[in-house]
Amino acid sequence: MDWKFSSDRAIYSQIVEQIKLFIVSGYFAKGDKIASVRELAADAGVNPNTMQKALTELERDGLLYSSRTSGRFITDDSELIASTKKEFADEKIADFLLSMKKLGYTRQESIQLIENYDIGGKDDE
Amino acid sequence: MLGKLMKYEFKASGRILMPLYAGILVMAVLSGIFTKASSNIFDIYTVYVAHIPKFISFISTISILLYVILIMTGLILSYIVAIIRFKRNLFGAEGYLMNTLPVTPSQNITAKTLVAVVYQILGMLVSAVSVLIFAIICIDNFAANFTDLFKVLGAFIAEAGVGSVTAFVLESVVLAILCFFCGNLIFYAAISIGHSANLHRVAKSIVAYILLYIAGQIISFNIISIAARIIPITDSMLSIHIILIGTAALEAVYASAYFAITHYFLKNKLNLQ
Amino acid sequence: MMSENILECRSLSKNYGNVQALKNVSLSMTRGKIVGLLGPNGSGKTTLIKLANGLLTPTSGEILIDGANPGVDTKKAVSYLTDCVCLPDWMTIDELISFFKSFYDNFNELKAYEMINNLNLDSGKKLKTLSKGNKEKVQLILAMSRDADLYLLDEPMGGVDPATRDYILNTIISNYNQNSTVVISTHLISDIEKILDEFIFINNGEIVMQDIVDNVRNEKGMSIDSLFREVFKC
Repeated sequence: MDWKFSSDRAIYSQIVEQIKLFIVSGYFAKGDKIASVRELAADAGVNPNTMQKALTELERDGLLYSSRTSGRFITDDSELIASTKKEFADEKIADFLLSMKKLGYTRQESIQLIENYDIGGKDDE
Repeated sequence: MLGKLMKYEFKASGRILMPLYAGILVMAVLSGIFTKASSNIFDIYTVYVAHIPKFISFISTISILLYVILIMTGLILSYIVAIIRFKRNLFGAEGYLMNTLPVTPSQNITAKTLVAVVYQILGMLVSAVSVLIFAIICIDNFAANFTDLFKVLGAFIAEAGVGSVTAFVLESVVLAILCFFCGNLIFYAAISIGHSANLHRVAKSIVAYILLYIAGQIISFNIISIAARIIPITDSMLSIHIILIGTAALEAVYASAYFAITHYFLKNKLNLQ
Repeated sequence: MMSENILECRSLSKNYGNVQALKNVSLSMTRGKIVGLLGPNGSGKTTLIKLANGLLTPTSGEILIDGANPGVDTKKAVSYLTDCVCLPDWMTIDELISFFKSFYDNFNELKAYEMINNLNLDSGKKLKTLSKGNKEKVQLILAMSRDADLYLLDEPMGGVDPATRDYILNTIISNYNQNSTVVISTHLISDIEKILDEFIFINNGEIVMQDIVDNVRNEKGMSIDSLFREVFKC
């Protein structure tokens, strides 16, 4: 797994974000069992305490659940996954629109630019 | 824990000393054979083939030389190894390992001392046995001569009294062993004093040794002078016993003092770099 | 002996002749943390670690490991990784493992061999035949194979290549457990900050700052590395 951490934000919140991304993108399939805290921590190169904190928060949000005996799993709840995905999308859109506004484009103009955007036939990827 | 430290110490010192001791025994055998051969050959071949005897006697001379060198090396090396191991293993980089093991400083010192003494005594025994082997090989009728020696010894023991001679032997052995202990512990004390410093540790260890040695000599001299005046010397047998036991007691006190010094510096003034 | 703090210093001072290496240091650490002991060279980090190991005696004050003064019992519970290679190099890896096993009840032989095999090292080889990097890895493996209460790692990543640094971090993370505390003393902060729970800044023998890593990142929006540069600006 490809973990990227920046050094000026708390690591556990970055982990929460990245795991959410893994889930909404389908990289972690819903219902799947995830690795143990220790394995994930070693993979991400972080302190197991930090990983534990992140996983606990994700459990609180409902994206993960743990069964006492068999470990931790990704939620089955498609609606929750979809709404999380939408949250990410909304964030990206908000960022985009803000950047475009700084450039001086209106919202309508921005949408039009998206419609017409073509990177030479490669935009289906 | 002490046993484990000693086991490790036997192995570490043995790497150098055991091959040397084995070499001494081998050289005793070889030089014995060559020496015997050269003396025989002189008898038989002198008339016929002049060069061979010269060659054999040359080899026998070289082998004896080598043998003697090995014995001397063995005796000196057993001390050098003890000193270097103590310094390197407790005060060098390995000190980080040895001084953080769950053992007391006493155990570290005791382990090294016991093993050093064992190898030193072993060195002497090996040398003595090797001389015996050399003699058996070279000297004709050695067995007969040797039994003669035992007869003389037996007569002496009978005259002096078995009990007295046994006591005499025991006292000498105890004294010898205590001397071995002291011999190592004074070096250990000097090393541990010198290495509590930051700079010039070896030089300071040497100075510490000299001071300890001189102090020891002065104290011994005074004690012996006082003792000679106080203790009446009656018959020669008793006085020999008194001297042996007295000296042994003195050595024991010195050994304890050197041990205490070493322990104090190792425990409280350790300064690894 | 279970004290609340695995490591505690009470007004600890250590002088070398005229030089004050540690001045009246008071700090405490609880179990289950990875703590960075961060400071420039000569700040007193190594002195503090040596005191915790019983290699030095305090000039004044105390240092306590799980409530006890340094001694045979604390040495059983503390695993020390030195920054030099300090193992007898005439021994083979097998002999070293056997040595550690005989002196430490909490030494896990299986774990040690597993890590040695993962590195494709021949355990019959003498330590002196290995490269410097491999020697350091063997030392790390021996230290981390102990099930200790306190791990003191002195500059575990000095002078090694980036891949080895990752290996070292990975080994520390994988062997860490919630009952133990790992103290990493280093001046290379950016490599290890990801794994730290707490940090201590030390300079000129005094504690300058002690806090939780996430507090700094959340409240100040900076990395510990950046904070260090700010605090220790020349």
